Amino acid sequence: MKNHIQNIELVNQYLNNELNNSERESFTERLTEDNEFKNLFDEQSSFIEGVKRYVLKGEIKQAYRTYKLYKLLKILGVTLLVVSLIITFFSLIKKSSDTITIDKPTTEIFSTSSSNTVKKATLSEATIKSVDPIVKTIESNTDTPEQTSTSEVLIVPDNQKNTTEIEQLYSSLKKQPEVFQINTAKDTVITCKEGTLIKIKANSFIDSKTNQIIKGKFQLKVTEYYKLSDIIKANLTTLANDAILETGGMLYMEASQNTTICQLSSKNTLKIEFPYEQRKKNMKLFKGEKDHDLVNWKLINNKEITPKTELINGVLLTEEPIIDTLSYSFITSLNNPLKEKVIANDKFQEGLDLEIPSVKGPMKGLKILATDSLLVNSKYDNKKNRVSINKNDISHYIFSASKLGWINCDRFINSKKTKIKFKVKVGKGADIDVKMIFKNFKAVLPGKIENENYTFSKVPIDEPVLIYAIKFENGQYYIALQNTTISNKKSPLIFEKVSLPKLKEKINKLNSL
Amino acid sequence: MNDKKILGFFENGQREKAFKELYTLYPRIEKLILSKGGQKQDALDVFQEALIVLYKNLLKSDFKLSSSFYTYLHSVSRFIWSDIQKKNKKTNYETLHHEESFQEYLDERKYQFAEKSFSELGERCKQLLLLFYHQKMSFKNIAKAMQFSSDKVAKNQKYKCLAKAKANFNAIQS
Repeated sequence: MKNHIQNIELVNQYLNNELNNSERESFTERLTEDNEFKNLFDEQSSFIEGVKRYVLKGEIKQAYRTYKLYKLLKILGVTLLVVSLIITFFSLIKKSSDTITIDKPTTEIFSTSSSNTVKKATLSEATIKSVDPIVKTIESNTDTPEQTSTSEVLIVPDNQKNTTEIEQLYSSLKKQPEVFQINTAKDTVITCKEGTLIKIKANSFIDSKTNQIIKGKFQLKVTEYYKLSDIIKANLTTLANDAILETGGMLYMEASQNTTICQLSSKNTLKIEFPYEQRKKNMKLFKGEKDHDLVNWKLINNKEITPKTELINGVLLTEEPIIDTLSYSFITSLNNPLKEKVIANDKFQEGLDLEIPSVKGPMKGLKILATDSLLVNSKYDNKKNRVSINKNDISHYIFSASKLGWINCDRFINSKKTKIKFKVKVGKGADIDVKMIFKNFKAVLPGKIENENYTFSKVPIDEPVLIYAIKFENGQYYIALQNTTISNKKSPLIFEKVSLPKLKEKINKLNSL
Repeated sequence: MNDKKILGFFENGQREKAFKELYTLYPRIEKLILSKGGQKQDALDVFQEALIVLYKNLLKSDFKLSSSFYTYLHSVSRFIWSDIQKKNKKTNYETLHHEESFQEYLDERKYQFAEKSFSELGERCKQLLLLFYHQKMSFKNIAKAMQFSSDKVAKNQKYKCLAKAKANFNAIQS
């Protein structure tokens, strides 16, 4: 045994080159002579190689593990990068669909407006269909021209049903239009009673029959519907197919010269400015079209106007008022000293100190604004004194329209709440009108009759509303005004008798909702 | 990831790093084995063996790598796999004579049994033998490291472990 051990030691020494030359020689000789010794030698060598393999395998396995780890980390890194890119991408898209909020005004005045695109969420624009002129030939009863001319769009056309008492009531309550005399020779800007501005270019109207540009003076009749009471009395609603619209104002326009109906020529548009006290985003222009018995609003224009700007002598000048950004607008006159007006968006910036550059003399080649730019935030007179803001200095949504008739400035209510069908129990009665008035935004929906209920389809649940209903029965008017929240419960209406003047009063009171 | 870098690692004795880099060549070789009727585990085993063969060859002073590491590993792997298949009688003996014969691999086959008998030893024996054969520690230091009372005890223990390994080896052979 000891010999064996010694031999093994010897072999190891040999393999480790620990033997001197003579020892090594005798070793190799012994190998050739002693078979047993040789076997031992081979065994040991193999064993040692086996151990080496074992060690090597261990290292290889470790290397494999490291390799796999690196691979995993690489994949994780790439995935993380892709995910973060997607997130960034989506958040950018979301941002660009909101309107730009105003920056600190001071020194950035001149630069902001140069990149002043008002970004709005763009839907594909509905092309204006060439419809029959909405303004029909004026019928005999010219003292209430708005009635007949809106016969296409009002709820009850004469040839379909006998007008009910309520329909007649609405007809009688309808607002009278404002009549303006326009001279075709000049560009005109008209300001309506409730603040709507309409800008008309010279020679932009044609005779609807002959298609010739009309000359001289003509009449433009405009009816404004901003107040809820006006909307209700005109039996209007804010529905676009089955989407609820929040209205920023409705307008009805018609033009005539003596007895001929006039239209806008195809090359021209009107610039309409709807006033607002609180600016809302995503306002779009809608056209009113008759859809069975109801006025349906159709999207015709989805872009608010962004006026052109020009930087002259370090001062920004605009052709039109700009929405959403701070800039200057110059009104000049050869005789009067320079007046400046500062335009900003709806956030009234109190304590705005602006350095107004001094401009001398008349400014050649500038377009002159015919009247105030109504997007006014603060006013300065020529001595750089801040003038107090007038109640009339409110902001407007600006759109251009290519046709007269019914024009609305609305926006879609994209409520995230679940939409349900809301039912109102009315009981029997032939002559009833039921409408849903929303409390949180200006919208009115028509009710649809289904057996003894009036229904409102696709309305957002939990939304606070006022159910308005008027009834005419046995020569008596009844009104019901029910505050409620949209839910799956059917809402019963409680009518009370009213006299006609009281009814009118109650409708007018709706404005103070 | 290039061959020069890998060679550098080997020369510096950074074997693990070298192997890790060589593993980047693995996917293509895995494909090769899979296409020749192997499973993923077979591919892993073959590649492992190929790496050992490569390394053993690199140790030889007369070895010259004429092609890229990839080409070499590819050929070795192919050879190894054919050999395994031959052993398992799962293939038609087609192209074997075309293959470059890797003597190293054939030698390694011999040592596989020894490796196995070693790996079947207990942890203490493995540690002792590794210290002696791999780390080339003196018995004195081994006694310290493994808390033997003296170097003589260490020596005796080593031979006992060797005997065990021999026993394992015989068991495997039979």
